Order: sequence, then structure tokens, then C-alpha cells
Amino acid sequence: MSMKTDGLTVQRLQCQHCGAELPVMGRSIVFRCAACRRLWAASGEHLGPVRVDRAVIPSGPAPGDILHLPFWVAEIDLPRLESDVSKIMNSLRHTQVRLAEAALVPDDREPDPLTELGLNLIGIETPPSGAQRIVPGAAIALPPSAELDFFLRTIADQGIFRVFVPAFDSPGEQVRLSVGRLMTHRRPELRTAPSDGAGRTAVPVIQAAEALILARYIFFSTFPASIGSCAALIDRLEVQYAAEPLLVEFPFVPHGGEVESLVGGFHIPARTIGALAEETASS
Amino acid sequence: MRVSCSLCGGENEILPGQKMLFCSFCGSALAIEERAGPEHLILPHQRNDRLAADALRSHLSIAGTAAPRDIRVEFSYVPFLLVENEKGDPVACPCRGAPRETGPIPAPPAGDYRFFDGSLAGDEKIVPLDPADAEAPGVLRVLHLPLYRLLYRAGGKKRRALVMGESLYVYADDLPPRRAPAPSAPGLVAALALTAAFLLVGRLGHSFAARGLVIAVAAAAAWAVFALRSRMVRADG
Amino acid sequence: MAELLQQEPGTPAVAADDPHQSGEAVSGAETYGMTCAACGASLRIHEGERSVRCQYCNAALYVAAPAGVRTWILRASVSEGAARLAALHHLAEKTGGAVKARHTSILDLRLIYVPFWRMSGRLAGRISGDEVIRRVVETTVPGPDGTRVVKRTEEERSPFTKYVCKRIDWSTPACALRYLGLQGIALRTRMLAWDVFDHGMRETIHTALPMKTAERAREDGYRYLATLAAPSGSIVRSSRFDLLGEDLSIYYFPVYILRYRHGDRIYSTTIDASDGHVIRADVPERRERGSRALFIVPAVTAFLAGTWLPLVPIAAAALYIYDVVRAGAPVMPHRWIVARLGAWFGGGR
Repeated sequence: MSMKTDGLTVQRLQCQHCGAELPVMGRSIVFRCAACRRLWAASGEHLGPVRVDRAVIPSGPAPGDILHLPFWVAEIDLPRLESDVSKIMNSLRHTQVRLAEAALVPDDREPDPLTELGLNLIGIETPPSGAQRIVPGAAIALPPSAELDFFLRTIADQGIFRVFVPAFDSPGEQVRLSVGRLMTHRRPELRTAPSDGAGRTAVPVIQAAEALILARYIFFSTFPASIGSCAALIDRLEVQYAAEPLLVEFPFVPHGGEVESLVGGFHIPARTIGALAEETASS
Repeated sequence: MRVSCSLCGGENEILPGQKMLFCSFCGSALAIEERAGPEHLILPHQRNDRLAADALRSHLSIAGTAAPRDIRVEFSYVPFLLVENEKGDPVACPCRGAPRETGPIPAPPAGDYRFFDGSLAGDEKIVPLDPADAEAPGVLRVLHLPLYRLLYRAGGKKRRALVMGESLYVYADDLPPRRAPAPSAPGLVAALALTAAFLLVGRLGHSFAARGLVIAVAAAAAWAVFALRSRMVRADG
Repeated sequence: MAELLQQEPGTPAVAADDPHQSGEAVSGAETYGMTCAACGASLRIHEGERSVRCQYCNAALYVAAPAGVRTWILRASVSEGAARLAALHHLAEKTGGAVKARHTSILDLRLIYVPFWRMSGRLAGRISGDEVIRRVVETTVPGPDGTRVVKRTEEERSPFTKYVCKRIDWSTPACALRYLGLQGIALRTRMLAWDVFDHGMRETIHTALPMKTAERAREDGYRYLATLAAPSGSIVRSSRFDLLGEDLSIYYFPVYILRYRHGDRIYSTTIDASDGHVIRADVPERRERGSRALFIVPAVTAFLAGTWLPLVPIAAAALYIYDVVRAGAPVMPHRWIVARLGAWFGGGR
């Protein structure tokens, strides 16, 4: 039974498979059934099945005090990316030529920040800025073709490109991009096994759909500056993913005021990590 | 406004801004469909002529003009069209039939609006809405607002002003002439006392220049004491 | 603690990575009323919590915010009497004790629930533009009397692209609050206990109808948030944002409006009905004009009278002629005397 009013939707927190009560986890979006061990994740107003994996610790003796931090791992559809970039660049070059031929007078006015905004927001469609307006000097700023081709080839040569989105709670949200970018750059090998939830684990608070949107920005932030700053290209590029994102718990080891990633080989301040998984006393 | 439940047919009362409803008969949760066309709303108001007259007096006092006399008050509900200006802010524009002096209101008064029902106006006059106004494009809502029309005399002339009920916002383009502030009794008494004191002090100077100097010093000292005392009073307050 | 913040018109509410605004379930963060799906008991949940246990029947509950606009209300916890006292105390304080309750006549005191649009969520996006760095440079140039130093402002622009992710919390009044004295007020929702708004309440309480539509509120919010993410002093050339977990809801906040008369003027005071503090008040101002004239005019009069008494009416006549010529219109002498005395000695409130 669920109660629906003008406010929040409330329903019994039950395993959708065996009906057992699920543990109360505060802000966590993932629940593990103690009876049948199935995992459920918040998906809008309902719970949906989710798979949670745990990254295997690299060779060597496992340190005693391990903290597992959840990340969504999204695999970029590389062939589609290459094809989309190529189409967009052709279109932009064509437009650039047309503008040059029209010999338009450069507009020297300061751009009004509000009219310059290319807002693409949920529920509101606004055409992106770029080709459709007159820019002082060169009509459209495009990245050097050679550099763009080299970058795409480098990504393609890896075979698989994964973007890592931190799903744990954090007092400051910017860490989601900075840690995500760090992990994505490191390209850790992904050897996983189903998670049993044992040990200390930070609660995941980001849903899959949100993770895919964040993945897009993390992915762009890994581009070289000359490509990442090209708004005309970036705003038109809709990143496609090869599969549904995976929720993976990665091992970290506390060292004083920091935690070290055992698979990524980097450190982040311990204060960037929020609540850990435990049934909250307040409920 | 009453709507029928789509499941049991029971009639329920709804209010402006309400998007869902629990039927009081069968308990079902129902979404309220938006009807085509603008909503017609009324802002019910308890008529208070004295308060409207006070609002006018206050407005003219702040403007520093002559006080109004022989105030006569009329009251009616006047239809306004709620539209959005170029900045997207709501503006209420008077309909045909509104008093001549009525202009657009930058924002309609905040209040407890209800769906238009003539009975909510009691015995007060309702200015009828011209159908052409109701069908004008871009109209978000039609608001029947309580408006006082005041006829008064000031500065030797008959004048008119409008006061919006609820907000007490005053519309008065034709203001009386500004009047000089009246001297205050304490101020006059203080001035006379100071004049007498400076006259006495001035007798200490036996020449023209000496008298001027003595009076100037006494005046400066008195003013400094007064300024210091005012500052201390303000600091304590 | 409730807070309505007075701030510059057009500047919406708090945003940015204030830890208290991060949505983290800290004690004292805002709570929302809900009903247990198992036993029907009334519970409270902290913002951001997904699961909670009913303290009455011990059932585990999953809580979700469905898509669409929700409406919340904060119940008034201050009585009319307390609001009146707070307003009068504030008046006496601001006027240094000169205007007290017995000097005023209360015309109207009413409790009204005022709607605010609030939008919160995670903002993720990209901003590109130019950072502008201004430097003052001193150069030596030859002048007619040797060299001199000239200061010049140099501007350096460096392009930037940055990706941002931050929790946002933005609010704006949903109706014109000018007459309520709340223009430019934003709503801080933390540490408040909100209940679901039931339209049936409107039979017994006064609420102001929202005039700003959800679409308009959303547009205004996004417009502000885009400027928020840019570095200060920079020029934004393009940007793109997504708002994750967007929650756009109406919040009804209780305020008392008190109107009183002092002299021939009406003043209004707005009191926060959740904690009793005065948000905004018009108070009678003491007119300071004429305080210098209060000393200068008697001093000049005493000097003239002490020198030769007829000098006083002669000086008055000269001043009268000067005023008439400056006004360009004849003025009756008795009206002129009253006007001059009023300008010099017309203090008070």
C-alpha cells in the first residue's frame, strides 16, 4: 500500500521478490534484502532491481581497514562517439564556410551573458548557442582537426572507455566531478565480483539516470583544453553509452586525513566522504 | 467552484491553484484538469470606507500636500486582466468599464482569491466584464479586485483617487499642491527662548563685532550640545 | 530557526556549497511531515532521506518525491498578541522611545500565509567565457614640469572552461509581496518543520494565491543559477546545465501584517509568525530638517535686535521680497510667515 498526497509518496520498504522488510538506510538509494540477498535501488517512485559489484583488490595482502566507496561505471559507445563527432564537425565547418562567404560584419559588442546561455535543461528545450549567432572574429571556434582526430584515435585504441561517477554522499558536490575525473583518467582495470555488502561501505546516493548525466560532464572534463572549450561541439554532442551503468564498490584505505584508492592509486581527503552504510538510529 | 468526482459523481468544492483533490464522498485521489481559457477569480474584501479614507490621508501626508476634505467613498469590484509583461512579471490591466483613473497595477494585491461567484461580493457593486476583454490573447487570469473610488476636495479643487482594497495601494495622479510644514509649538518656544538667551548673552559684547562674536560662540556651543544629545538619544534607541 | 532574508531585489536565495544546504541529513535540517503507509501515524522525515522507520509501528518505509509540484506549509507558532507586542516593541526601539503603543492606533492585524517557489537539486554543467583581470599600472610620462606618474587600468582576459557540480537551493516569492513589505525577501528552509499543504486549510487560514507560474519560476531559477556558477568578474560566453533531482515546490510561510496609524499616516509592520521577529517595519521618522535653523535664526535675530531693533522687520521684509521673486508668484505675507516658520522650526514626527 502506498500513501499519496500532495506531498511525498510513502510505501512499505519491502523486497519486491520475497516480501521481507528491507533495512532502513537514510539517504542510501540501494537496499539489500537480508532474506534473499537481492538488491534494490530507488528508481523514481519505486524500487527496481540493481546489481552491485565490488572491485577485486589488486594482488598483495589485503590491508585490514578497507573502506568501499560506490561508483557508477558507464561505458562510452566509442564507434557512435566517433561517428557523432564527425557529423557535428562537418556541419560546423559547412556553417563556418557559409558565414565567411556572407562576409558578415563582426559584432564587437560585449555578449550579453543571458542571451549567450545555451541552457539545456530537463523539460526545457533551448537551441544551443554557437553556429546560429555571429561571433566577433572567426565565425565559429573549432578545435584543430589534427588534434581532434588524434584524441579520438587515442580513445578508440583503448577499446573500452569507462567513465567513473562517484555515487557516495559528500558535503561538497564538486568532488563528484573532481574525483570522477581522477578515476576516469587512471583507467583502472575493472575486475569485479558481486558485492556481499560486508565491511565498511559508503552509501550510494546517486541514481543511475543521474549518474549518466554526470558521466557526460566528467567525460568532457577529461578532454584537452582546445577540444573541451569548444562549446559548439560539446553542446551538440550527446554521449551514448554501450550498456547500462554498473554500480561498483571500489576499495580505499584510510591514511590519516586521506583515503587512498587501491585500484586508482590516488588520494582524496577523508572529509569528502559522507555517510557510511548502517541502519540509521533516527528511524 | 464545485466539480464532480469522475468516479462517484459527488460534488466537491475546489479553490484556485488546487491541482488535486480527495473526493469527500468516495475518498479517491483526483487530478483536477485545467480548463481552457483564463480563470475568473475574485478577491473577497470586507469593505471599510474609513480605512480607505485614512489610506488617502496618509498618502497625501507623505506627499506633503494639503489634507483632503469632504471625502466621499464609492466601492465596487472591478475586473482586471492578468498578463505577463516583457520581463515575464505579472501585471494587472483594468478592463473596459473600470474607473477612468485606473491604470495598470505592477502586481495584483496578494490575497486569498476565490473562483468568481457574485455572491462573494455581498451587496457591493460588480463592474461587468466585457466579453471581448475575457477573450483577449495572452490573458492568464481575470481578477475582480476590490476598488475604492474617493472623491474629495483639496487645494481648492475637487479631486479623485483610487484605493485598492486589501493592499491599500493609492492611485492618485491629480495631487493637491504641496504645502509647507506647520511650525511645531515646541520648536517655536525653543526659538523664542534661544532668541532671548542670545540677546542677554549679546549684552556682554560692548561693540558691534564683539556682540556678533559672543552670539556666534554661544550659538555654536548650544548647537554642539544639542547635536551631541541627539546622537546619544539615537544611540540609546 | 526560521529566516526570511532581506536582500537586494532580484537576488534570489542562498545557493552554493554551504554544508548546511548540501542536503546532508544533519540534525536540525528541515523536516517534512508524512503519513506512515502501515499505521497512518504522522511522521517527520529529513530532506534527502529515502527510507525511515515509523516510530509508532516500527514499519520500514520508502519515501520518494514524485514528479510534479509539491506544496508545503509552515504552521504559525506565534500568537496575535505576541506579534502585536513584538511590533510595538520594535517601534519603540526604532524611535528611541518617542513613539509607543499609546501614540498609535492599530487598524488591522492579520495572519497570512505567503507562497514562495523553491527549487533545489544538483546542478551539473559547463561554463565557458573569459576571466577578466584588471590591473592598475603606473607609468612615468614627461610633463611640462618634468616627469609625472600616470595610472592606467589594464584589462587582461583569459578564456576559461569549467565544469561544475553543486547543490543548489533557490527561492523566490510566488506573488507580489510589495504591500506586505516583503519585496526582495528570500526563504531559507533549513531547520523548519514543513507539513503537507491541504487546500482544505484555506477555509480557516488566509493564504496569498501564487501568481507566478511554475514555468516562470523554473526559468527564473535557471537564469540565476547559470550566473551563480560563473567565476566572479568573468564574462560568460556559453554554458549548459542539467539539474538533477529537480524539486520545484511551493512553500507557504506565515507572517503577520500589522497596520497602525500615527498622526495622519498609516504604517505597516511585518512579523515572522514562526519565531516572532520583525522582518520589516515602516516607522515614523523624526524630521531632522531645521535643527541648524533653530540656532542660526535666533542668533541672527538677537544680533540684529541687539544692534538696532528695526533691523529685524527690515531683514524680514528683505527675505520676503527675495522669496517672492524666487517663487515668481505673489504670496500672502501671513502664509509666507507660516511657511518660513514651518521650514525653520517644523520638526517632530
